[in-house]
Amino acid sequence: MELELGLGISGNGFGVGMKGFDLNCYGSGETKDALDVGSCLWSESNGDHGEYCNSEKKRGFGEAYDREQGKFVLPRKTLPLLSWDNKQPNEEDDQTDDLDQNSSTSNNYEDEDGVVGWPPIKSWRKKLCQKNNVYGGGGGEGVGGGDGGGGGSNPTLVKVKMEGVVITRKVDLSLHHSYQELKDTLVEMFGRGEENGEAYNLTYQDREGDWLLAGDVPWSCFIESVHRLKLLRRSME
Amino acid sequence: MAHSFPEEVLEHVFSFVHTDKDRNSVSLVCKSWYEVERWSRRRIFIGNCYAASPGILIRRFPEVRSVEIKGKPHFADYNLVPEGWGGYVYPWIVAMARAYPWLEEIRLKRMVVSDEALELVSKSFKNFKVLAMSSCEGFTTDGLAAIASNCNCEFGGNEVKMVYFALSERNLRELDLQECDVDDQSGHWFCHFPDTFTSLVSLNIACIESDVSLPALERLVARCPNLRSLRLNRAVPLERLPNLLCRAPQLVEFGTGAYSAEIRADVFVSLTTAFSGCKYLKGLSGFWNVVPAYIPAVHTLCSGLTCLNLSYANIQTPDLGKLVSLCHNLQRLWVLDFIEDSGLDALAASCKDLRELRVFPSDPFGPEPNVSLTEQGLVSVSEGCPKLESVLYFCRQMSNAALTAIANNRPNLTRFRLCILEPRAPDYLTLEPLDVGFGAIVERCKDLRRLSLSGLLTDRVFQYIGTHGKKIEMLSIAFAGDSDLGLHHVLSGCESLKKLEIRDCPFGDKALLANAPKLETMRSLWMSSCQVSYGACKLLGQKMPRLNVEVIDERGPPTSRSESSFVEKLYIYRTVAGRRMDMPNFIWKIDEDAVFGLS
Repeated sequence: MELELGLGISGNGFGVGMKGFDLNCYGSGETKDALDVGSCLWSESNGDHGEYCNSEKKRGFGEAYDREQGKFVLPRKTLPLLSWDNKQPNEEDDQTDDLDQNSSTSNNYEDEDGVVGWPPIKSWRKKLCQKNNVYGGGGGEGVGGGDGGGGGSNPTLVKVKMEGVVITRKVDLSLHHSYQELKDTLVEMFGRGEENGEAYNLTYQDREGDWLLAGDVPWSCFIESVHRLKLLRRSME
Repeated sequence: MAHSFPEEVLEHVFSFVHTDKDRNSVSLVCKSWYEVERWSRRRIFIGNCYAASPGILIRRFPEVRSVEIKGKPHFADYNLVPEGWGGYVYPWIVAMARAYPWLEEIRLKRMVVSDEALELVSKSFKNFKVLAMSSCEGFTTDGLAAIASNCNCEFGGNEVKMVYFALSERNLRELDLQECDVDDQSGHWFCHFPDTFTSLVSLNIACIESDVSLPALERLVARCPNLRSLRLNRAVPLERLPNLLCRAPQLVEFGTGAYSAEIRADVFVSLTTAFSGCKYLKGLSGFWNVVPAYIPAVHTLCSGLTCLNLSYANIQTPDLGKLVSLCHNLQRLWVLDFIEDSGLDALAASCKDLRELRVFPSDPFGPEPNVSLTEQGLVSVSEGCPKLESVLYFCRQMSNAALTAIANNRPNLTRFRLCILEPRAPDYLTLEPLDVGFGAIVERCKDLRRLSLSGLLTDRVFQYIGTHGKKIEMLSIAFAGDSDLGLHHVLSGCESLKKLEIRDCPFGDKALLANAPKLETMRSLWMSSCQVSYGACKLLGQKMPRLNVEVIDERGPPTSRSESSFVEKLYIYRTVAGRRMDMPNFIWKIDEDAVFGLS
C-alpha cells in the first residue's frame, strides 16, 4: 500500500525529519520533485527523526537563518531562489504541468468587478452603498430622475471633469436649480473658487453621447438629458 | 496548598477570573481545579463552530449562561466562501435548548440561522436576555416574529411546577441584527412585540429592508425606559425621527433611518430640537441618503459624541470637515473617502482623543480617483491623534516614507489594515515594493495584533513580519510574496498567530508542510488561489489528525485531477470534534479515509 501511494511513511508522523522540505534545496542544485513527496522526501528522511522534533531548530528551516547573529539572514546558497525571474519554486518542480493549475486563479475573475473579493469590501456594505447611491455608478442611470426640486431623495449624480484637474468628481444635480448655481458649485468643488467662473465653459454629454455647451436648453431639459459634465478653460483670445 | 481548599472557596476565587485565557489556564492546573472551573464557567466563546461540537461543550461546561459562536471564515465577507459552505447554528441551539434552560445570551457571527432555530431560541430559555447576530443569514422576518412574540413572558402554571423555582420571567434586553442578510417577508414582525414588553436596552434593525410599522416602533420606544441603543433602518423617514427621539431622551447610541427629506424649515427645527434633547448621545450612525442641509441638526450634539459612523453617508468635503471638527471628543470615526486629505487634516487638528479610524472607498471600482485622498491624510492623523490605535484605510497610493512616518508617529497601533485598491501597487514615489514601509510598522508597533497587507510586496516583508510581529494574531495577505519562503517566515516567526488568511500568493506545499505542527496552534488558515497541491493537502490531512483539511473546489472532486494540481481554496482548522457531517458536495475533507481510500 505504501508503495502504491508513494508515501513511504513509517508511522513517524511529523517526527520524520523535515529536511526534505528544506527550502535550501531549491537553489542548491539538489532540487527534488517536491510534489511527489512520498517517493523522495518522506522516505529519504526516514531515520533522522529529531531534526524537527527534538531540536529547537525552526522546523527544518533552521539553516535558513544565521543563528549566531540572531538574525534572519539567508545563507548564500539560497540566494538564487530570490533572484529567479518569475519562476516559482513550485513551477520548477512541476514538470507535469496540467491545465488545471492556472484555472484556480482564472476562476477568480468576474466580468464586472475584476477580481472576486477585491478590494476587500464586505458584500453587505457593497450592496448597501449601491442602494444608497454612494458608488454613483458611472453616471447615466441615476440621471433624469430628479425633478429639479430641492433635496429630493433620489440624488442624481453625474461625473464632472475639469480641464487641468486629474480627479473626476461627482455632483448631485437634484440639489441645483440653475446653470449658474451648478457652475458655482463646480468651480468651488475643484478648488478654483478664487478664479472667476467665467474662465470656464460648462459642457455636457447628452444621452446620445454628443458634447454640447450647457445653457442652451431649459434647465429641466438639461438635467434630464445630461450624462456627464466637463469644465473647459475658455481659450484666451 | 491548592488541593486543601474546599471547592466552595476555589469556586469563589474563580468567580473573579473572567477572561477565557485565564480560565483556560486555571483549568489546566490540576484535576480538582479543572472540575471546579468547568462547573463554574458561565461564558463560553467558540471561535469556530467546527472546532468543537455541541456535545463536547455541554459535557464539559454544564452551567453556561452565555454563548458566543463564530461560523464561516472571515473571507466569507468578501464572497470568497461559496454559498452552502456550512456554519449552521441549528444543532447548537437544539443541544443547548435541552442542556441550558437558563441560558441568557447568544451571540453569533457569520452563521447560518434558520427560522426554525430562531423559533427554538425564542421558546427554550427561561431567562433569555440577549440575541446578537452579526453577519448572519438564512432567516426571514418570520423568525424575528417568533423572537418578538416570545421576548417577554411569565412562566406560570405547569412550568412553575416543573422548574419549582419562584416565578421566572423572560425579558429580552438586546436584539442586534448587525449586517445580517434577512429575507424580508414583511414588516409585520415588529408588531409581535407584546404590549407588556418594556425591558429593551438595545435594538439594531438597521439591516432590515422592509418598512416596520412606525406606530408600533414609536410605542415600543416609548415604553422601554432603559433603551440605550437604537439603530433604525432606511425605511424610517427623517420626518419621524423627532417623534422617536422625544420618546427616548435617554438614548446613548442612535442610528438614523433615511436622512433625507425636502428641505423645510419646520422639519429642520423639530429635528434640531429633538436631537438637542438627547443629552446622553455618544454615538451616531445611519445617515442613509443623506441630504447635507440636514446635517447641522446634529451640530449641538457634536461635542458629546465619541462614535460617529458616516460610512454610508454621501456627504462631501466641506460639510464633512466641518462636522468632524466639531466633534472634539471623538474616539471612533468611520467615514467614506469623501473626507479627503483636507478633512483628515481637520480631524487631526480637532480630535485628540481619536482611537479608531476607518476610511472606506466611495468608488472602489472606478479606474481613476474620484476624490483627493492620499497617504498624506493618514500621515496627518497619525501625527495629530496620539491615541490612534486602530486603522482601516482604503486608498489609491502609498509610499514607504508615509508608512515609516506612520509607524514612527504611532508605535501604539494595535490594528493596522491598509488596502491599496490596485493589487501589487508599488511605492508610487520610488516604484519600490512596500516591504520597508510595512517592515517599519511591524518593527515599531510592538503590540500590533492585526495586520492586513496590500501593495507590491516581496518575501522580504514576511521576513520582517516573522521577526518582529510577535503579537500578531490575525494576518491577511493578498497578491504578495515571491515564494514559499514568505509563508515560511510568517508561520515560523509569528508566535501568537491565530488566524492567517491568504489569497493569490505564490505560496505552496513546502512552507505549509514544513510548518504543519504550527497549524495546530492556530485557529485557522485560509488559502485561495495559491499554489498548494492536492497531494500536499492529502498528506497534511493524513499526518495531522487534529486538523480538518478542507479542499473547496467548485470544479469537481480534486481526485479527478492530478495530485500536483493546485487546489482552488483550502481551509484548515484545528478541531476536537473530528470531521464535520454537514459538508456540501464541493468540499473535500482530507482524512485517512481519503488517502487510503485510493489504495
